[in-house]
Amino acid sequence: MTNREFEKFIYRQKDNMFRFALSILKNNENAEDAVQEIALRLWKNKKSLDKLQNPDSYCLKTLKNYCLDELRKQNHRLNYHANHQAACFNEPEVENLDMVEKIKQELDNLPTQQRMAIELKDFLGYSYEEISEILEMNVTAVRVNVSRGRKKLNEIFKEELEDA
Amino acid sequence: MHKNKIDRFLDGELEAKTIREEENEFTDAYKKVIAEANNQKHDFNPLKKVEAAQKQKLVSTKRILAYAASVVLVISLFWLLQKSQPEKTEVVLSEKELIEAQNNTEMALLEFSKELNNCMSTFSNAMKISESAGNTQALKNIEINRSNPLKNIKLK
Repeated sequence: MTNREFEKFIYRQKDNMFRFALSILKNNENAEDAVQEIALRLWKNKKSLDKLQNPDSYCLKTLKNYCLDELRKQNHRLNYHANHQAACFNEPEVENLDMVEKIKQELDNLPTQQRMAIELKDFLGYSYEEISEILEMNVTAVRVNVSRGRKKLNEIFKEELEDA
Repeated sequence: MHKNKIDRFLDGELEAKTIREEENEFTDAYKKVIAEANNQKHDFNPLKKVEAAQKQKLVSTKRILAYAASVVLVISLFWLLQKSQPEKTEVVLSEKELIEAQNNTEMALLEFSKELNNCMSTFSNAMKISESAGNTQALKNIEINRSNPLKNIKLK
């Protein structure tokens, strides 16, 4: 892969990579940094990209591993509730929230595996087979994660509707 | 049991886009979230770190080249200096000078042998009259050998 081809490849993948990283890290700056870091790692091994059957999946798989490592490093989960509470405090009251906004908010509250599976399936449009390759789990597990995520969102949506 | 479209969607069997808007409020809102996310473009340079690494690599290469060039320069200067130094000259005498030196040496040896003979006879005389050898003037003439200017000239 030449430098030019590599640049094209990264620019083609840029938005998908950013959104996938954002779905895990939940922070624009960190997601940008993750994409740039993965681009650098791929650039260092760009010769091996030619040998891959599906460079797109490989790219997202590498990104996922990097983001999960970052998440562990930042001890994100410990800070998560504090951040979330602060965010909720600044948000308008639940009754006044748009349902679309509510779904967006709840998407970020899903467990990481479900969030990643939903992001790849519903937002980035990958097939179950591709997602299983990216997330390094079998197709059934991916399907279960997607299904659980969707059902959770649906339940929250229903509760909100009933409350409204 | 026959499942409706929503259940199939929730079970992960269908895509949200296959469900018509009026069929379900949740899928409707969900599709809007997806559409909104797809429309959002985040503008940033994904190759920022790659470009920085390329610059760094260029700088490192330049540094290595400069270092290598300076080493080569120092080695060549050293070599040139070695080459330009004149070789140690050996004294080469012409045939005339050589003959003269030979003659001088012969003369010096002759004079020396005369002096030595003289000295030896004085010494034996001194021995006979029990005089100290150190006081004998003739013995001091032995120095002639040490002060001979031609004694170190090597002949080929």
